[in-house]
Amino acid sequence: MKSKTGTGLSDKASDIILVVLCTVIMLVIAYPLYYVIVASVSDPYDVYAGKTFLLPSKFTLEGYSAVFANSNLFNGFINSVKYTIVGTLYSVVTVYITAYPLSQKNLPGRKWISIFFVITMYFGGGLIPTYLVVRDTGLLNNMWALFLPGGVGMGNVIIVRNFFENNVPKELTEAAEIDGASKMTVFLRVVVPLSRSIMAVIVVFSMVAFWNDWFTALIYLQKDQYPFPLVLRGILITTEAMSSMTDGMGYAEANRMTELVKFASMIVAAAPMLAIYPFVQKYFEQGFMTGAVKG
Amino acid sequence: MKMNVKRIMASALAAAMALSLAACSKGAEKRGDENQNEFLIVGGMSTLSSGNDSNPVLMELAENAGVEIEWDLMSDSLGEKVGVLIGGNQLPDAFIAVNFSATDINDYGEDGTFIDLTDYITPEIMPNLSAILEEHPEIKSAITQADGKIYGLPSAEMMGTAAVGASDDMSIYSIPEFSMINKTWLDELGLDIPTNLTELHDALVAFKDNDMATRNGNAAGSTIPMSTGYDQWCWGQEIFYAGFGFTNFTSDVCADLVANPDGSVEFVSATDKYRDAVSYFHDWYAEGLMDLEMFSQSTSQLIAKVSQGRVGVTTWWYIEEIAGEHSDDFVFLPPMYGPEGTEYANTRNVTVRAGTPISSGNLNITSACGNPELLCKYFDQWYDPEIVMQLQYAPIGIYFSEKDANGVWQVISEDAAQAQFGKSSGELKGQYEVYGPRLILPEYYNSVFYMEDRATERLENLMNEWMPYVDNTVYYPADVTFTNDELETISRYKADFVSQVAEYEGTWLKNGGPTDDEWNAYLQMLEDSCGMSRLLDVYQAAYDRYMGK
Repeated sequence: MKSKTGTGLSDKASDIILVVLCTVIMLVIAYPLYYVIVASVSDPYDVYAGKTFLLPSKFTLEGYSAVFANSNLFNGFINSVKYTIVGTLYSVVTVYITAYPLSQKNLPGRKWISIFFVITMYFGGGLIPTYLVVRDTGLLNNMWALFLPGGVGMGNVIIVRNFFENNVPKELTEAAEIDGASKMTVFLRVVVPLSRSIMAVIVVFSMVAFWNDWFTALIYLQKDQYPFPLVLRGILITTEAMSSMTDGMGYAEANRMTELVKFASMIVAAAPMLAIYPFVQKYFEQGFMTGAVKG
Repeated sequence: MKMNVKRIMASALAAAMALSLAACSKGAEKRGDENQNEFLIVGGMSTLSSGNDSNPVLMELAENAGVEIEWDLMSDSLGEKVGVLIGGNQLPDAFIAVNFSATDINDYGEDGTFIDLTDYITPEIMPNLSAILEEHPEIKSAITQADGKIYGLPSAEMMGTAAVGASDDMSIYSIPEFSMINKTWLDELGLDIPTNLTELHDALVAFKDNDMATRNGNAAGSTIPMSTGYDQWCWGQEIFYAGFGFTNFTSDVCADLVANPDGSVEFVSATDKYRDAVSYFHDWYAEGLMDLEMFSQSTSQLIAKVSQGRVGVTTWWYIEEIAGEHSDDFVFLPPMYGPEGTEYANTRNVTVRAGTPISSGNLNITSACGNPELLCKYFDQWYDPEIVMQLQYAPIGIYFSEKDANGVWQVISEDAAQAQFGKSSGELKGQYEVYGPRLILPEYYNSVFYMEDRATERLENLMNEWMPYVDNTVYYPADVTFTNDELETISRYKADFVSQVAEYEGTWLKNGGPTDDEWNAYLQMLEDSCGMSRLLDVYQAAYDRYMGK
């Protein structure tokens, strides 16, 4: 690949340029996160005065101590872990058992079933009718109200279906069938193992979605069932409520706390996802590309 | 095969429609018969509250009335939850502290969700409330709908200058913005406190030219002569419009709506003085005297700037709060006369705004309640002065220690609060405060309990240093009631009107005042697409009714 003198860059030079470029891009992406970390341990008014470009100013851990002092926080964390695990399992299973049949060209009424599913991507029942259904099916205050009303994630189904159609060779499944495998065995022993990369994508998508979901829980669940984001939101609103104009400690002082808690809870909420992401990242990149390309 | 799928889909759709229709047509089920004494009440509470179940005052009240109340309270996203309950026809016996809007109260009253309480507000059933309404007819008219019915019990906190000795009670919210100027900088430059906008302009230029902020250890060029928000509630620029004869403070009713002493109402944003004010202040903005970030900054950003000593003039609820360690530098900057050499040279007037409205959206009994009479009897106890005091703050024996020589309840000292409960008095209040139909009358202050120090101080400032600049104390009341038709007109036009006016005011401040063509086009637009005269008719009619014309 070595180019002729004068018409291009040497390998070394292009390496240097690439490294510099990547470093710049990385800094641009990483700095906002770093900034929030710094802001979460600095005096908020110094943050807004622009004094925390690189280092914290008037270092304080008050924000974190206010967040962690909340007795519901641990409970909320456990709830969120539970909802995320169960929700992700539910989501992966339903997506797989929907996408696989839809990827089979000989499925009767395939086109119509697909259209029927796609309609649900664009039209919903609205909040109150959905609430009525949840109430009348007895799912109120039940964890399953977070998953069942949503059914299956159609966007994910389409990604997985495309993957099955384009990346699982028909020859393999046919060979398995000739060797005497039932349809079920083909699905479980051939298709599922071959689609690990796309499974990682679905896992990450669902995990992030369930981890961040607070609205559904707010509507259908009770206080002691609230997930992590709702608890954090509660803490933030509580500190905001302290900043009343006519009583309490006074607005400016209370607002200082609100801002601190805001930054601290951002970090606390994002930390678990940030910790998990590196472990699924390699599958993620692989799978995301394969599912996206239509054959 | 295709036919089959279609048929299945069709019948599934039909079934879904039938189900949803069934859900809608089901009427509210009564939760009990006329002897019901257990009630479910859904509503709001303070985010700091530890709940109503453990409140000793409420326990006693329930026992007195012989009721048992199950509270289902939340501190956030109440609106969504209540909407879902009403939409889903799962009515509790009553809603508390939801703060329903006038439109909601009207709609839910009309469709039968809320019941009319007129028959229960009698000296036999509700002796306390009846006596109050007898004495304060304005409260009664504020909670009575245009159709003559009352769908909720009143609540209000009537904090005003009467509590500090004024004969004419003005709400603490009358002038939300107190403008202030950095006196230390003025002194260093040898300038007096400005009295008109021309002098203020020159002082701001001097602040900028001498880069005064550097004297507080800030970087060169960081002086902001004047920093405020834009049309913000206690930190906007509107107080400076006083030099043009008006101040269009934010309003609970409709932005820029003012009542004149002759009983007429108008939108100040369609007057020539408004046009002149906006055109004038554009020059300040263009010269860099007004903060370039005024349109986008948050309170945190403003506090940061002022408390770092970078700002010469600003506005806030009161000085200490915003200026922090630089508080001593600032003094009140009273309202300015208009610019010298113009027709406004002798103009100076502050338009006051209304206080918080009397609401009937904080206790609403629903059609599901089997025994409203008993529930009303229970809530009548909330209208006892000492009870409402304990609901507003915290119980006697916890927050209030004893009566002083004047028979006024004393608040626990910070030391005693820390020693007994390990909490500050503010935290105690947060824990025990109960939201709901609390009616704090002006006469309660300093006879039943004392007002908080900072509120007292602000009221004293308001009365002594700011009210003298108010030519007339007429304002459009926040608790005017509207008919159904009027509410419809309001909900159709108000939002557009408010947002268009705000957008144009901002554009003109930034880019220069309107030419004649632009101004006429603006008036035409307000009229044609924002229903200005229709809105004005509605507000005038409702105001006339309120004033008893």
